[in-house]
Amino acid sequence: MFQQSIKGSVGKSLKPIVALRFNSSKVTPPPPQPPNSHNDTTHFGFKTVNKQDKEKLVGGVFSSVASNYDLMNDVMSAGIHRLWKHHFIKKLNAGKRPNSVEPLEFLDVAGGTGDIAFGLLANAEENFGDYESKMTIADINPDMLKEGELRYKKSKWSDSDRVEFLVQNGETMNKIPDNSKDVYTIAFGIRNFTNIQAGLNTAYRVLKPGGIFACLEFSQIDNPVLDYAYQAYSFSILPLMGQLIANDRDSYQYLVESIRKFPKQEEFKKMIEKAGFYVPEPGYENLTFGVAAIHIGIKI
Amino acid sequence: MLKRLYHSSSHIGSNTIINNNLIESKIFNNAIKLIPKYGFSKNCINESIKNLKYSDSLQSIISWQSDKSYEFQLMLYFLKQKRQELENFTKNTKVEGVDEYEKLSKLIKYRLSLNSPIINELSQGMSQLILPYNLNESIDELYNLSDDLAFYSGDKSHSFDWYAKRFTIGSIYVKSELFMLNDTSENFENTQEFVDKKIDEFKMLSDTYNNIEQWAIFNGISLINLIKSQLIRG
Repeated sequence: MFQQSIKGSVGKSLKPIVALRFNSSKVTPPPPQPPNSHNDTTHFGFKTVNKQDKEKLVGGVFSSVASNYDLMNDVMSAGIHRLWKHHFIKKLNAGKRPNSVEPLEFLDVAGGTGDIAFGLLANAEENFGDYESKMTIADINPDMLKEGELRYKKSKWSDSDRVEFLVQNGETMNKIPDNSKDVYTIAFGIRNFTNIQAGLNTAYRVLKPGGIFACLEFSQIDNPVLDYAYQAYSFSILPLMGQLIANDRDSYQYLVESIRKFPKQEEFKKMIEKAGFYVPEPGYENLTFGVAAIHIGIKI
Repeated sequence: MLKRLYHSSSHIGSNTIINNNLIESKIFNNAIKLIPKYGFSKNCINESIKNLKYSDSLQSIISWQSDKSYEFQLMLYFLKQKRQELENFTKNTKVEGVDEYEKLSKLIKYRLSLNSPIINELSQGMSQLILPYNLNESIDELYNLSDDLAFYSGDKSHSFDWYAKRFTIGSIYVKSELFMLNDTSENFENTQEFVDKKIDEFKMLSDTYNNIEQWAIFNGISLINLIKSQLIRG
């Protein structure tokens, strides 16, 4: 009911704003082909599209937001996404302990801008004096990865060989061998996978036994009153801000729709278990009433 | 997630304190063996993971499960493990005793004897428990212990002394444990004597309480009867 009414009201208010839209030089995703059969389709926001098209469409979204990505995140979440990421890194508290022999192999998937990757490295250095562990940053989108590389060149790791950038599809990871990574992180990325389960299965494949899978992703609010307010905010204000700041309404419309489509906490936990992971208690941790949630899994 | 708010002895297996098959339990069980070497410190957990040939990535499981320090988590796990051992002990051996006080005294002595391998480090661990920000969980655990001690000694109370008993048992346990820290006698004989003395006081106190209660009820009824008889006489 709530969703419907919000969608309805947003739909009505949408038209005049769309008509005002500036002529954008940005690449907007091409209109999806009509779906051909039920089995070959997936969702792209609230639209139903052919599976082979989703990757391209998501690619279009992120290519067009890449340069403004961080600014927009800051504006939309009032800076809270930084707190979430900080908490995520603290919760993992990963790093080679002083008495251990083997450095860790980190893999940050969909880590385009490198927030999590550099945060993890800095945390390992500060807390455990770990100057050896290696980081691989993988992203399907070369434009997002370029943003990360620009930032990397300014960082203190730029003259070491500890960080590597790879253009990789998270569902297959064909350049990353089996049992090769210790820590797999993905922040606000898994939602955009065409086949989320395939992404989880691949995470299981690339991790060493004893490796840890950690995911920070938007989730669902349990409290219906808060949820109503949150939905109203995300469906009416966010796309408008996307239009005003990044001059790209469609991409931000996609972002909020994809958040709504992502499985609930318990459901996603079951998917992690299905991939073969052991999920320790508590299965997940809600952040800000469940706007986002952290999930982890251990490969035993 | 719903937390179970009741405890039932008829649901077998639903109240296990620790599950030894879990990977985090394996890390902690091994870490506890290292306490005499490293004290209650992070090193126990670091070395435990190393000894078990796990990768350091598993450290995340410990920081994931609680925001508390590793030292406190280790101490809390130690307490839970020993409470589990106490439960196993009551299942495998019949605790003999003329009344529940004698059984209680035996159970407390058994539980204290489990501290002996790490007695030199115990004060370190206990200092973690009394830090203000850890107090909540420590008191929960102490309550659970005194509840178990009362239950396994055969306590059947169902009125206000249910609370009073658990409170008193908890305080006897803490006093005895503190006494034990400074006890240098062989096999902690002085501590055992101390426990006996405290339990005797407890028994005397509850006898006194019962006597006063009986006296008060008797006099109360007498008073009502007296009033009634005066009323009938008009």
